[in-house]
Amino acid sequence: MPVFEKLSQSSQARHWNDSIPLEYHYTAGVAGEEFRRELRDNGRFLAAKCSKCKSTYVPARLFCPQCFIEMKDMFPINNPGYVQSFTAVDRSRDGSKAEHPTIVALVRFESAKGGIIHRLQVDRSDQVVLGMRVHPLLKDKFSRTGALDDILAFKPLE
Amino acid sequence: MRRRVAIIGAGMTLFRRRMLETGKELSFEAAKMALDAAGLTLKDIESVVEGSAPDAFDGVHMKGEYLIDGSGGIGKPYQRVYVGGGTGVFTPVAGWWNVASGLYDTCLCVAEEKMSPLHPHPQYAFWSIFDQILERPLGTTLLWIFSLEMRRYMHKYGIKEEEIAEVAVKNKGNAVDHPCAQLGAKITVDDVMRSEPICSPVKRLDVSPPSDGAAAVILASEKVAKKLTDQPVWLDGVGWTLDSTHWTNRDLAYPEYVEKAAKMAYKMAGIKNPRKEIDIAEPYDPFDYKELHHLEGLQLAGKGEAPKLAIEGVSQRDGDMPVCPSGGLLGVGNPIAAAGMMKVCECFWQLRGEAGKRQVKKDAHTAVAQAWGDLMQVGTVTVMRS
Repeated sequence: MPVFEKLSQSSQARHWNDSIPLEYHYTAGVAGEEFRRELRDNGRFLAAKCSKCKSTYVPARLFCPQCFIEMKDMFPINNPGYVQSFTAVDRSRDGSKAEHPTIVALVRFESAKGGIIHRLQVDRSDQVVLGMRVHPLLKDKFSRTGALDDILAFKPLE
Repeated sequence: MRRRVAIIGAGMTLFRRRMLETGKELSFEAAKMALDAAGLTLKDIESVVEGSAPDAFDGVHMKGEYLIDGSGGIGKPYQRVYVGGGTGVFTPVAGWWNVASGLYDTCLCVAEEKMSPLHPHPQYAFWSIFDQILERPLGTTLLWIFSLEMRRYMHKYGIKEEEIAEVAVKNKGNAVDHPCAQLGAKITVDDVMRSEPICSPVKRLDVSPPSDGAAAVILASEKVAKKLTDQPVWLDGVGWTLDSTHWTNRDLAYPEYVEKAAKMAYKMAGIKNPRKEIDIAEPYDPFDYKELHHLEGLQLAGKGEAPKLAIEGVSQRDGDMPVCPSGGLLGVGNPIAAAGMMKVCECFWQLRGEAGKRQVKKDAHTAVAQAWGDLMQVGTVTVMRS
């Protein structure tokens, strides 16, 4: 059949419905468990430093992907983060129009590789400037579980 | 010793939001068209490479094996390769290994994607590419990270949204002349700027559509190619590089992995000054800013300088270095793996003077096709010469 005679109206194509029921139980990993524990117990972000290239990674990881050695030096970072980039999400994940745009930022930390993506607590996207300092707004200690939602959002430093 | 490899035939299907054809049928049509163009039958093919992106799209969790019938791979040495959105250009790279190594004289390379089976939207397949502990609980989507990247690119070099929109205008306009295109249209920068915001600064017309489709090329050794055609297109350089899935590590304003892949391919092809030696470029353009990002990674524009190319006419079809004369993913459509292969097909047709209404004005001898993907981490590059 020549290419121009193809069906191009999708409604004309019959289809059958099916789903593939799969469920996954993910582990956080060795370094991930440490990161979660520090977040839950002390409300801080755990970093890991490579003894060879001296790179610091946030969140902490088990090994340096460049030097390919284990990173045993893990410590909480004390510096505030800064906004590396941000977006205003106008559509929710299922594609429907969101009532209010959600402001989402990639937050990085001085002298560290990596970062954390999370919501930014601001009213409007024009209040956000790249490089602005932010700190995490956390759930209270007793409701924290070590999951990402222990962080409610990042908030600009006054 | 490494052997020289030629492309001797190309084919593709329509790119549409939903095709009646199954993935096997789409693969068959593209493969058959490429075989016909090369004047070969399946019996003449010694090995087959199939490229296809996540199994989750088609909903068959061993897609390479599933697609084998349509790719002409039954009973032959057959491989399925996959590097996310980079797959389409990676497929002929893997085909090149087959022929350049001396293992085979002919290799059929087919790239297929049928995204439409996945409901409610193909984007759902991408939910599971993010870190399951640190990113997924937020509901992270690909659009979020592209928006972060686009904003970073604009911020670092002082680029305006209107300048980026010129790419969407150019590519959708070029696609009007592509018989397989899904979204060819004559639009203006104003149309892009006024299109619905999805994830600012990304707007509806900055983005390519999900599609179904397939595309294919036939590779041959120099000896076989010269017997079969007076117009072989030489696959003189291949390159690929991957970075980590820790995308948060990267300089979002510049794709280093594309630079590394490009330099590998240029070195192999003996290209010293890409901007002077490359006549046509087909960089991966799932978003308009990505064309610019990738042109810089491909060393075809200085950092932050790619927007000037479309505005000053250099990258227009009648310009000094046409970019995405096919219409790109923004105009022709984006069936992931097939879209990258479409770019290789376009270079083949352009270098043979067979691109019809899309034929570039300049006398073109060297072209580069590039794709990108996975979690913003892979660059795949091919350099072709007539």
